[in-house]
Amino acid sequence: MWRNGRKANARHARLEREWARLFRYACALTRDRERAADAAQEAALRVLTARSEPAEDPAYRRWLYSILRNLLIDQGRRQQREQGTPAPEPADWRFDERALSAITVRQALEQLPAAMKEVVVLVDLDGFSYAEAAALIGVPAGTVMSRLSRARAMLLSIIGGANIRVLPIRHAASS
Amino acid sequence: MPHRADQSPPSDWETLNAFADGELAPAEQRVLAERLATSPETAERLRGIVRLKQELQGLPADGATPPLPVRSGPPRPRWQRVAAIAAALVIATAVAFTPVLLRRDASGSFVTVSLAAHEQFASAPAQPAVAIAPAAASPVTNELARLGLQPIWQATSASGQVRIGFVGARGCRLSLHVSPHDEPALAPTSANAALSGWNAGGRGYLLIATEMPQARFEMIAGFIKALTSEPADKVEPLRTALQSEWRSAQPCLA
Repeated sequence: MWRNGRKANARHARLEREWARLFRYACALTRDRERAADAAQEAALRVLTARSEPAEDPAYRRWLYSILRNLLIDQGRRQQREQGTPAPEPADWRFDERALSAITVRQALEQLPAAMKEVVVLVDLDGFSYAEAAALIGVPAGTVMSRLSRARAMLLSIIGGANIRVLPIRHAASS
Repeated sequence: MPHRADQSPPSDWETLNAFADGELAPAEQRVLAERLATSPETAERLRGIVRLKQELQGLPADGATPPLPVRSGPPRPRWQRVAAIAAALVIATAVAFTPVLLRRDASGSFVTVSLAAHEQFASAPAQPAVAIAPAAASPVTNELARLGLQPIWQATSASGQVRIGFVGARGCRLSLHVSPHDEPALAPTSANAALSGWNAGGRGYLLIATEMPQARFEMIAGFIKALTSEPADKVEPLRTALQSEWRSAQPCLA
């Protein structure tokens, strides 16, 4: 029993290390902090009461995220309709480095369609590889690559459009 | 500044992003590196991607992260779990409780076990109404049924705790948990659910709802508390107010 108690403590501590990231991912999927908290906590309960868990950290993280994601899919809480939102053509923008700040980046991130935000969170914020993110989402790696590049183009476009441009952002066609 | 018009197709943009992410094969990396050396436009784009990645990675937490749920007790040995399941099935059959969605945890407090049971009830698909056992049937059940909250689940534990799950016409789910003896006052809890607990007539009561607007939950809790602890003349105004609120109630959040 003592050994089981220590094991439970270790599992809790391990989950606690990933907790903030897991919640952020839930926020990205739901776009609603209350629902995200609901889902993340339910996922946590499943994790804590699971009979076993992956030993390796990368596999453990994928497992955590997939539990949360599947839970949200089961609940029908994802806004799948946003997946088809068109992104601007990458050639349309010239980024102004001074416009990049935590505030503008966060605001821009919030404006992304859920499917795009998800890949940004997985790859840029949580450090998953394309293959890992693809396995988690259930799409080919090429889709992650495409979705991520469109998401970044959209982010940069939003950031560029949301700020006072202190530098010209477009070059003349003849330049 | 030398400038070369860049008519990159989207696939080049994808490739550039993959380069920034270290996702290109070595041969592709070499090709792109050569291009970067000769195309300031491409280099500028890459710099933008890298800066964006840096900003994203450096984003501080957006608001408070909710607390991690309370740690569950250590898992019991397999034979104990099997025995517990068997015992639960026997109890369920004996009292014709269908379905029984009770998570037993002998080491948990009334609140902890009730929350776990509610969680299972709230996440389970709606079941047909079941016969209410005499122990569970009460003025409370009947009053809630008149308001449109139908009891669809009930369970009892070996220690005599009775749980009844209700679902409303608008999808709201709440559960009432009754302990056969007084329970300690509710401590502040981090549970992501609305809770209300009280003692009356030598019993402990706990009402739980998730996804329900707080104001409506508090009205229901106040009404049930009055039903179990106040004379009829104190209950009537609450009943009237609740009926009025019920007519204009919005669907639950789930």
